[in-house]
Amino acid sequence: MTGATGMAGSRTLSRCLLLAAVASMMWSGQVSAQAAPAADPDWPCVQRLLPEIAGGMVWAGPPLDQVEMPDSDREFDALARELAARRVPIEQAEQDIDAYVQALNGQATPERLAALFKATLAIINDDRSSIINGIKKFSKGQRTLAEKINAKNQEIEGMDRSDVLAHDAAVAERDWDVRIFDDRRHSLTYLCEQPVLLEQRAFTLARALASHLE
Amino acid sequence: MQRSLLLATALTALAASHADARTIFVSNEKGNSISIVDGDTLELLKEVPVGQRPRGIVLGKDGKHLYICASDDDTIEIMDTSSFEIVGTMPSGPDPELMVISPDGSTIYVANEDDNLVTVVDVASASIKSEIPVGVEPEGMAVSPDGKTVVNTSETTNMAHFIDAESHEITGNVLVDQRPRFASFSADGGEVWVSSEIGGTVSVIDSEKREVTHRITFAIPGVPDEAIQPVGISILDDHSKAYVALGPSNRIAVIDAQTYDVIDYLLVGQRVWQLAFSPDQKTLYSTNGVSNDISVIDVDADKVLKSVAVGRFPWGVVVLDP
Repeated sequence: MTGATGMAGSRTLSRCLLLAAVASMMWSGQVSAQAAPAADPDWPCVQRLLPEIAGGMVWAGPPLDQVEMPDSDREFDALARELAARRVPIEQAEQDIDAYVQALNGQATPERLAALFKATLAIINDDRSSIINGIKKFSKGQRTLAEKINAKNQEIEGMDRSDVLAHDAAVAERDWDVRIFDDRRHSLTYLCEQPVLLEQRAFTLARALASHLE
Repeated sequence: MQRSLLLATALTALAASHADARTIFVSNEKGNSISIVDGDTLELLKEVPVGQRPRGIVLGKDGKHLYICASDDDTIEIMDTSSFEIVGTMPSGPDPELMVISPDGSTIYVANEDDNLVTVVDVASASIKSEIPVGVEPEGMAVSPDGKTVVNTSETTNMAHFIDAESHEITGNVLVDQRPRFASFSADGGEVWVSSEIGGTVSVIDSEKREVTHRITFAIPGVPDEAIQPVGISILDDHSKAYVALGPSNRIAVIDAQTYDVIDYLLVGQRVWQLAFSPDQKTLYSTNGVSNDISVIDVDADKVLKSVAVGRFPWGVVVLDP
């Protein structure tokens, strides 16, 4: 029984050591060859961090920084919020744009459509910025946990094995942390895709609006 | 049974009828597939499932086979370009990303990112001829028009390695800007253009002197510099213009290849990655990774004609004319 536990324990330990080593490498930005050097150390995604979707990246119409925004226009503001909202399917947003242009009855000037895109992009960028902060917070949490696992591994190695209760308690605590670390690690790909999905949305909306510019 | 017979007949008819038209092949890195687009109607004909993470693709010299780097399967898959079926595999070394084929069609050079190697594959025998150790994280590959020199770029070492195709020895190293991604010879063999993704530049190397003679930089109004990440390069055979895909800036730069000045930026799709000309060089196609489409560009007018939706995360593109 003791032997079996010992073997299982040693398997877990080597796995933990490996994980912790990978973890501290990963969370110090060394593991991802694709991550930009000297980039934000809290950014764990393969994609290079672009803090903001700049208008020029997706929009080829009138320059957004020179566009005048309409004076308080509830319908306009509501539409920008609708277009930016992730809950609204992109096909629906495209239909909303078509309906808006039709309703304007020939008054959908390039400046007006540029203003609508500028307002929408601002909301998307706010949303994206909160996601990016969330990912960085997640990354910091993982790094702290990796450091804790490393420290606990060292503590376990130096422990007096005759104090079985204390040793087992330390191992159990470490195993629990490893499990949490591992579970969270699996969600990284999903998390990193979220800012990209918003880039996709911004681009699709820009393209849909641009189709009414000609 | 009857239905599947009908389907098979229809598919055969489709394949047969398509032999007369231009065909565009696109590898989808996340879709694990090859999208096949009719080059005349620009309609998606088919999406064929292939190995894991297909990236680099090249056509064999006679156009009968498409070779596909299935990066996560550590193999090269061979697709019949008429039936669109996978008919075999070839060894590639680990994690093949990008490959080029020698002008005579006999040899494929593969960049193995994880093992710091270029694997040399003999096409006829489908076997590995040699492995050439190169810099850290090899990426871009190019072969000179006379087939005598192979160029490989290594991402971490920031170098273009010149390799003798006969002896497989490295004969020169040229330092370029950070994270070189792609290399391309001019049709006369006199120049090698290397794009640097992080450096945000294209280095033009004199292939005789092995020195950088021009360094092309990019600036797009309203686009932050860090979004300008040069990747794919296509140079017209007459050396009048060249095109550089600029990643997440969603633009292709049009370059006067005589003066090395950027003359235009074309808004295409998101994260534009690789480029390919049609055989007559009148049309350029780009893969746009995040918007999951390809853009079709008129080369004379430098105008984006159309976007065609393909699979998930399109990466490589090649064009086959009948």
